[in-house]
Amino acid sequence: MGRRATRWRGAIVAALALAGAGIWEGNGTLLLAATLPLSYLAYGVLSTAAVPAALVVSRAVDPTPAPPGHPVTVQLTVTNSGQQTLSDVRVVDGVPTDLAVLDGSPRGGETLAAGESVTIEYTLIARRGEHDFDEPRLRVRGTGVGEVATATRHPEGDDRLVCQLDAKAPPLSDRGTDRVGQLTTDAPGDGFTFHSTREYQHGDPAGRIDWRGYAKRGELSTVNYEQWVSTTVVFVVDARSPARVTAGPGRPTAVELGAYATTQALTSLLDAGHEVGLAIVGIDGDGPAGLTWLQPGDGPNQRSLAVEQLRAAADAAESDPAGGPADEADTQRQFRKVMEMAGPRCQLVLVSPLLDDAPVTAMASWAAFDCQRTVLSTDVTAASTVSGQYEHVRRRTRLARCQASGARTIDWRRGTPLPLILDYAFAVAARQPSGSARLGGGA
Amino acid sequence: MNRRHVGLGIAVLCGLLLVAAGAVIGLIGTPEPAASGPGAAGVLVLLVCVLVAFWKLLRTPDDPAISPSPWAADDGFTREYLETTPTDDAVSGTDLAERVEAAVAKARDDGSVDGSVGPVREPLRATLTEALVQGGHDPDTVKAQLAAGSWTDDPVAAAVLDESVAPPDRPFRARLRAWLFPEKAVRKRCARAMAAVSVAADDALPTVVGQRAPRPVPVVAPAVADLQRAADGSLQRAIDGSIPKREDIEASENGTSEEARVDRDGTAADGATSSESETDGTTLVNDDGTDVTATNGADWGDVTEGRD
Repeated sequence: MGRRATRWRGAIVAALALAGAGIWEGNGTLLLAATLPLSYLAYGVLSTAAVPAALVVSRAVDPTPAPPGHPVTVQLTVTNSGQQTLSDVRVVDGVPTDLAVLDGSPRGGETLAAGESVTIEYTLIARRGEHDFDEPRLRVRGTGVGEVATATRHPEGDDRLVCQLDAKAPPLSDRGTDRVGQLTTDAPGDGFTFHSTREYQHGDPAGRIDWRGYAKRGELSTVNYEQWVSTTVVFVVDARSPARVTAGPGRPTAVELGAYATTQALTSLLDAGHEVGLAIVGIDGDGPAGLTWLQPGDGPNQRSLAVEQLRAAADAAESDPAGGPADEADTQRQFRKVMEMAGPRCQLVLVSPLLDDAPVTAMASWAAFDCQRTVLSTDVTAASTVSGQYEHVRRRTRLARCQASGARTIDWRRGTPLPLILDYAFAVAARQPSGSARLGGGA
Repeated sequence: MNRRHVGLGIAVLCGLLLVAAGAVIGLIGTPEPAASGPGAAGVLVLLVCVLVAFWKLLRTPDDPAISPSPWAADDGFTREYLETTPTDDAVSGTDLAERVEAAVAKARDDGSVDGSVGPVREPLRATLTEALVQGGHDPDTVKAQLAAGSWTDDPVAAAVLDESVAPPDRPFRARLRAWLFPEKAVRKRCARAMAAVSVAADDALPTVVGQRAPRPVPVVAPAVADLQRAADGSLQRAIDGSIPKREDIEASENGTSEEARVDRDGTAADGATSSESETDGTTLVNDDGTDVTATNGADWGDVTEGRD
């Protein structure tokens, strides 16, 4: 049942004015003219409105689950499955309050004949967590707009957007996650990527014989492939207060993005048989020097433990954006402790937005140890504003400083698919069986 | 339901009575108005009409059966601004925005544009020096370049970063505008200096892996809540304060007017719109008006990128 609209109040006033003027002047034409606004009033009063049960709402959220920062498309469709034409149907979707509408609008309106439908489409930016949509509100107005009916409808389909650090978003699978974790070695052997050829030796498997070369030259040769070796990688996630910032309201924090990148990378590395450890700097942990520390290990249990700690870090960053007072000495003590705990044979991957100098200093201090160092920097600066561009230039300078200190430096700019960046970060890092690391490969 | 019927009945009855009265008067013939004006009854009727009309216009219906106006606060359908997002997020890169605001406040108090950019000068100098040195330049050379203003082709930016560099002569129109609106002039100079610093740093700093990677994911268009409809129908950011494009800076090497850039891209004189042009060539920038600007206090604008 609808509520009356006060749209025709002006018609009452006009009728009274005309009638009064007619009586004052004794003018019958004016008096008769007063019936015109009254007819509008009667038309409005006669119209009725109700939200019919035949109005069916459905919602599609794609993709869900989504990784942090990924655009999520929401389609809300309202279908008039009844027999009557609804002259004015308006719909407003119940967007979760924590999410930002990137594109489109969650509002729409249309005249719906029997069987017709209207679809509103908008894009949200995913943030970690489970975000429930409110029920969409529908408003139907009668033809005479004398009555308005408003109701909520439970939609068919999705009513929740799930954003997980380990979400397999479409771009991830499109690009291929298996490319991560290919740590190759100088020593050739079995594998998939061509390395070299050598003279055939008795006992070489037939599958590795270069039959094409044999057909051309009549000499048997054996193909060497790049050999994969297992190694130990320790991820160091920067969750200090300078990293608990976003590129804009409603967007994921750098900690969230770093946790996402780390989750994907360590999953791939564990799948490839490497050992992975985790250290989180900037959160009160129960590890040495206040670190959150996970000893390098392998297997699915290691992944579960790591993801749990990353979730806790993202939670802490979200619940306390300001963080505690930044103590430079404590921070550097934690970074040094990471190196001590990891040991020289580990590869260190620092995941940080590089919005202050502490990670750069840490990276320079790690240079004293002969270990492979990588900086994966998440970009949360807005490079198109005056202040954002200032921060962007400073961050670029820090990236250059890290690079100058001998670390492999990767800039994960917004808009670049994560697998591509992880490919850059790990596919080129070759490591010799003796434990010493070198840069090489060809990504 | 009953009230509705009663209202409907009264309306129809009034209408019919008026129609009947008009018809009767029309049939009898139009009476001549009394020379002495309307009688007491006529005045009374007129008074009642006026009172009812005012009551109808001015009263606020509190009947739950009556739908509130769309703009009323208690209308559940429209009360929420769905597109807005929580503003308590800590946003990156607000340091320079605070400095710019200090410079703007100084310009507002003093009225001098040239002498108000002091708060911005030091951070920009330090940033540029660090970037150039990291890019392989000699620190002394950088210092000399800053003093001579030769680090950039933009004389306005050079004058912002070093007070010994004389700002270029400006046309009368620009001087008049700076005198009338010193805050805007200061903002524009800061933006221009920052853009020049960015260009110089871009050229000096070595490329880092990933910077030129494809960016096909559309992640940073401004949120709907931050857009406003411009006079020409295009969407633009609601708040002023933008940076000029790199090509505008490069093109203005011989243009000493602060307004040259703004006039060239056809935006309003206060330069409310600008869009980022990526140097790697992989980013698509919308030209349809979804442009970007920075905010005054909370500087968090984004680049606009299209889907590939």
